[in-house]
Amino acid sequence: MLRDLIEFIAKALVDNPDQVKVTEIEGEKTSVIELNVAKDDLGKVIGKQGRTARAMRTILSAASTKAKKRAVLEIIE
Amino acid sequence: MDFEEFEGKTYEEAVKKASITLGVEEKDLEIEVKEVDTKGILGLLGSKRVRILARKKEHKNIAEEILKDTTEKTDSTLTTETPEEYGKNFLEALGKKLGLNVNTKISHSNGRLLFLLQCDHGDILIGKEGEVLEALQFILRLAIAKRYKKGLKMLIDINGYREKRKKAITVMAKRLASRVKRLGRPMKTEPLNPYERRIIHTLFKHNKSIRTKSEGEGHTKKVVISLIKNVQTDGNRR
Repeated sequence: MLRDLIEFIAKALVDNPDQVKVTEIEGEKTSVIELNVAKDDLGKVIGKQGRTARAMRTILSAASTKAKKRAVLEIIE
Repeated sequence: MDFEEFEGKTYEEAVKKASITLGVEEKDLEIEVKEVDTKGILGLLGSKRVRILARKKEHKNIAEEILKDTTEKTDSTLTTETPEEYGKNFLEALGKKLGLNVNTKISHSNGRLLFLLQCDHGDILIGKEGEVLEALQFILRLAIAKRYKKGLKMLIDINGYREKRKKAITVMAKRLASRVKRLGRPMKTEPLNPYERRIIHTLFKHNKSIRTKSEGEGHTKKVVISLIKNVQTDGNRR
């Protein structure tokens, strides 16, 4: 569910949606969501001063509250 | 490929025959019903015939067309969906991924597009001090700008949160302003986000005795409410 969410958002923001890859590494209490995008799209998912990344993290943490779990978003370079 | 004619006692039977003869799965058939013939006594005694025209669906051509479309006009294939529809679909799909049922109404106000959301667990989508709401709006604005190659003035509200907040801020700002007038010295609000600060600035825009100014760094700033000119210098001295 969290993985899908990030994938959905990222695909709406990048130039190369087909190169968006999201993996979820599930831990007992914490999930790590790894977001991979094309090199040219890195700036798009990070944003000016990390604003886009921060917005995604905010939405992710709202989602994880509902899932009663902690989730961390890692953007892979 | 041209249509061929098939006949059967029922529609299903005719389709089945077509499928076998053409060597194509039923779901890949393009079918037109030609004739439903109910002879016999009141259609009761068995001589009902259904005639259909069938051929293999031309997947290749369709796929090619789509491909041609997207390469020729990458943008315009997407713009069959208006920004309003896109935004609505985006928000509702996103809500679904959060396991929430989101209902979106679209409205316009002062050249601004409004997405008014109704949601059973609105507090999750709003977040502490509206931070999730702001994040959603930020992301949607980006997605729309990306898709339509131009920015759009828009606002999201969830379960009337912004509306309530606007009322509360207006009341608070007016109360502060009257204290500023009475005490003759500037006063500050709590830290507010840009949208909330705008409410206050707009409120006093045409007020001759009150001046408003944002103060501080970062996303949330305080608004300083002060008196204009002579009275204000008096206030500074205290």
